[in-house]
Amino acid sequence: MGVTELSKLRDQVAIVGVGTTRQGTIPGKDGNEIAVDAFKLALDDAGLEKDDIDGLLTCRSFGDLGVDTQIAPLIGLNPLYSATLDYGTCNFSLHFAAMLIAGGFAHTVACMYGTNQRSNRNFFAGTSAADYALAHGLFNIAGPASMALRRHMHEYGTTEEQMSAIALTERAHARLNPIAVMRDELTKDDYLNSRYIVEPLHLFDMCLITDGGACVILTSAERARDMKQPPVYIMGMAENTSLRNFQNDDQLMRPFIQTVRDQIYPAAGVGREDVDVLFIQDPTSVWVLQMLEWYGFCEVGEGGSFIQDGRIGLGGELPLNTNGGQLSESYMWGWLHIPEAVRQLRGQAGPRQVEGAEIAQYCSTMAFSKAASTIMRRD
Amino acid sequence: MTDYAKPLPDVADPNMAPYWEAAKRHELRMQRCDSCGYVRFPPAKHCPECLDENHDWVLLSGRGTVWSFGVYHHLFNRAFADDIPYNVALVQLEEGPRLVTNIVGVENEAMEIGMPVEVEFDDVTDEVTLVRFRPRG
Ligand SMILES: [Zn+2]
Repeated sequence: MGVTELSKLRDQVAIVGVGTTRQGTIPGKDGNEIAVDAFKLALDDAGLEKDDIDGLLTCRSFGDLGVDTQIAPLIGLNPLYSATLDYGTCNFSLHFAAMLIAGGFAHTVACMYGTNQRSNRNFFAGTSAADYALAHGLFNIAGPASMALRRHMHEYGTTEEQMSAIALTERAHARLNPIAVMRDELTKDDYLNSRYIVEPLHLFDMCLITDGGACVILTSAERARDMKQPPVYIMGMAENTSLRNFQNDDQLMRPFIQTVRDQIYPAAGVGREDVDVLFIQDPTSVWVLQMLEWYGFCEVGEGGSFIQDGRIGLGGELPLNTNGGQLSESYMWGWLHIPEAVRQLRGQAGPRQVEGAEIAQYCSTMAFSKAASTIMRRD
Repeated sequence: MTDYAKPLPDVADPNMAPYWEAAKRHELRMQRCDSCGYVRFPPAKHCPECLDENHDWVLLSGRGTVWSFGVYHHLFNRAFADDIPYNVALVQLEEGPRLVTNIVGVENEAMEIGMPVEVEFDDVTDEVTLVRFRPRG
């Protein structure tokens, strides 16, 4: 398989700038204008001028926005290479940027996302489901996520009480994050007494709907050495897909992530035991449960017990989503996890800092159809 | 019937039309590939296994098991207000495909993964018949 091939890119590319806007409600700006705000912040963070950017990767956002041909005019750039990804999580965009830089298509690439989905009242009532499924009432990603969780509970005995650890941990982290939207204390009773969205998924298992933007700037490791911030090197990247949908066995359980696990650690040249801080994209808490298992942080089926007793909290064995994640920080289609990972590796995470963090990993999926992971390290 | 407010499938979709026409006759039919025998859903021109176009719309047994299900408490669509809490299930059909559907004739609390079910047709409008399932004894 491509393990040795993927390791060719080890430490060749670095993240040199990150920008995150205010999160929550941003009235008066559309998604593209918020993406421009994030771009400005990332340029400032990197100590770059906009003309230093010769690669542009935008991310489609609510309201048919986020297209590169819309955004390039707003930032007054004619990049050597530009494209738009139809889906988020930042991981896929990051890998695309690394390919562009390694392949010589561009030297310094800005990846960005912005949305005003909250102000414009997008309640995600639709899904990518076929019209026949909508006729049966399958709305929102919570539908398939609830089926995946129920199946996990059925096969492995996972309980709602165990699941509460994810929402509670992320909330505790969000309380230390000034840009987080949800910062009130959350108790296990609050979680267990909260209403179901789609049973067995509780309200607090679901991400928020928020406005906001994020931008990540990457360049070659060589160029990164002389920049304003300490570079964060991309050690390893891997992806896999599960595009055949329900025709795949156990699609909702996502065993296809194992292929990413088998490639990402050899690509990066480190093991999961070397990961100091872990990020998992979390539109619902089920993603966290599944990815902890498929990446091998615990055995498949043991995620429910693994997340107990503070293990995934700050000060625990495997601090997870120190930004508060999408359950409590903000829902940016997974775009805020990489900026937080970068701040952790630079030692800039303030009260959320994981002491001595050297290596971070980010795992994400596009719904149930694509998976990506990145391992990063500090200088 | 005319005031049915829930989302309806496009029964005129060229690939789906034979499926909906069969449902209207209270038959569950899907495409079986002439070349390799693979039963596919959703309907498509080509067999995703062998890419052959030749197929028969074969009559299925209508039997399956509940692979998993969720119970909707949050109202995403007002037309479902009287149904809350309602179940949406993924049924594993004997012939292979999995179908998003609802299980009728059983309380949500009594539903279980692995429960054997059989097809039940629901004529929701004059044009559209939905394919649901009920527990099989
Ligand atoms: Zn075939």
